Amino acid sequence: MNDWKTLAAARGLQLSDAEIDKLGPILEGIEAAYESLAASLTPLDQPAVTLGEEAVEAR
Amino acid sequence: MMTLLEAGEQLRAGKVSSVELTQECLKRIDELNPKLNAFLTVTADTALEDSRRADAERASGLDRGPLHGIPVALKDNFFTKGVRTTGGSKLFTDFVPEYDSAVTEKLVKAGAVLLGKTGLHELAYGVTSNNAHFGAVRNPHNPERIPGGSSGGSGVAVQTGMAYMAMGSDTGGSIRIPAAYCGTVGLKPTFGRVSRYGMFPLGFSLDHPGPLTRTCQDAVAVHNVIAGYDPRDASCSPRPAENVRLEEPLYLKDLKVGIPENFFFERLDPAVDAAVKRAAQVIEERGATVIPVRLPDIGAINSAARIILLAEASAAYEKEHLGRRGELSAEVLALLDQGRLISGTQYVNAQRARRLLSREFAQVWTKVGVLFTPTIPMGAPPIGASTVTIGGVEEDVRMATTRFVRPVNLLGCPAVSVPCGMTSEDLPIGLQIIGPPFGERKILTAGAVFA
Repeated sequence: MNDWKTLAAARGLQLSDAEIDKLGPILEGIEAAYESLAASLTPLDQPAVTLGEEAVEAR
Repeated sequence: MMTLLEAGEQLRAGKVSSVELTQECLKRIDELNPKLNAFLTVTADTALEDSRRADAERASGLDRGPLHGIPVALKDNFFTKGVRTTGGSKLFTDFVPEYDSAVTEKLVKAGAVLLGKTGLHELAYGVTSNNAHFGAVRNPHNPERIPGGSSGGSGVAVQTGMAYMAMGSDTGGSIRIPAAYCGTVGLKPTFGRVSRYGMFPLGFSLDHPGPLTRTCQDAVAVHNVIAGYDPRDASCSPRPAENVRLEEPLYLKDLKVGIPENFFFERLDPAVDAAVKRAAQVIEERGATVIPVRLPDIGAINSAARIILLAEASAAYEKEHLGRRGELSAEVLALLDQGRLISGTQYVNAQRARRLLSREFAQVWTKVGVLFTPTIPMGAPPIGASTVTIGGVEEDVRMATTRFVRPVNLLGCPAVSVPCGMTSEDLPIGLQIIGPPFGERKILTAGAVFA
């Protein structure tokens, strides 16, 4: 479990305990979803950040 | 109530004038807007002036096409020169752009009459259009219900006849959601098909402008005007815009309609499930072939889309997020806070996953021409509700509303929501038709069977 309050402060956000209580579970959910996504990646997989038609068609 | 194309025919036949159509829309706005809050700004004087010009041009023999003299509206995140553009945010309450968005330019050039700017969820970052700064936009089917968002005002304006067309923008479903909840057609074109120049951004790699209309034929008319390359938008497709014509034969007998076996029919209002399956029967009766199809992991696609949107939105509004927190609603502030806590690694890896998932999804188009899915699992929730219960499971309104629409933004595919029934509470149900990149003609041909 991340210390979201400290992480938020490091990113310039001074969040109250109430705000952290609300955000924490959401962020944990995002983390879990991310872990599952990242597990499928190999170092050779490129990002889809080339914008434009080629990117859409390649997708 | 006439459709956009019917109004255009009446104009060409000299049976009605643009001034009359505009006056009629302004009258409806006067009557309904105090109750429904669809418009943030009404430009009555310039609209009447523009309609007089359109009538004079038509009388002189100039015909600018199907939108010439037609009263339309723009979501208030499209820049309009000299007309306040708020983005639904207190941050931009007094912002008056010095130039038009590309879409505004194209509509004006096509002779459309701009009635005003429609209300939206703050910064287009939400699904309810319950705006903390400008008030709740209300669903015409039941004013105690949300119209959906973020293009809620556009859905209401079209559904009630306050405008013949209203533009929306769609980052995680924001055109298709109000279309489904209000009972209109909502087209999200292929990513890059319509220029985003002169629009407030939300998700740089997810934002799509598109029209809300009464019919798919009307959506085609608007799409043909607004689609095309624009060098001012770095992600705009250089592919020449096809002039879509539904009357040209795209025989339904050649169309394979895929019905997803996974994800899209899980946890639905039974009326939604039945309406979408009935729509599949209808198109089958019209000659199409309906086949079940297994889709890649839509949950993973949604996760990647969510991470990308959180990070991109927080990047877009970083200065405002950090410097003007007091001017943001608690809801949007929380989303921007979440985005700031997404790491660079997570964002890049979500974009890497996007590429993999998109390649996998592209295989679907070797089996079917379009997909039929519900747009949203249920009818419009009450204003202020934060959760809904579907199939005995309590779910966050935002998550439930975006479940079926958000993945399409990640894929960049075109999709349209068309009305296909009503729930037991007499609220509209949307059928979402998804097609391959640049397959607008396919989805709108299929959609025209229903609206």
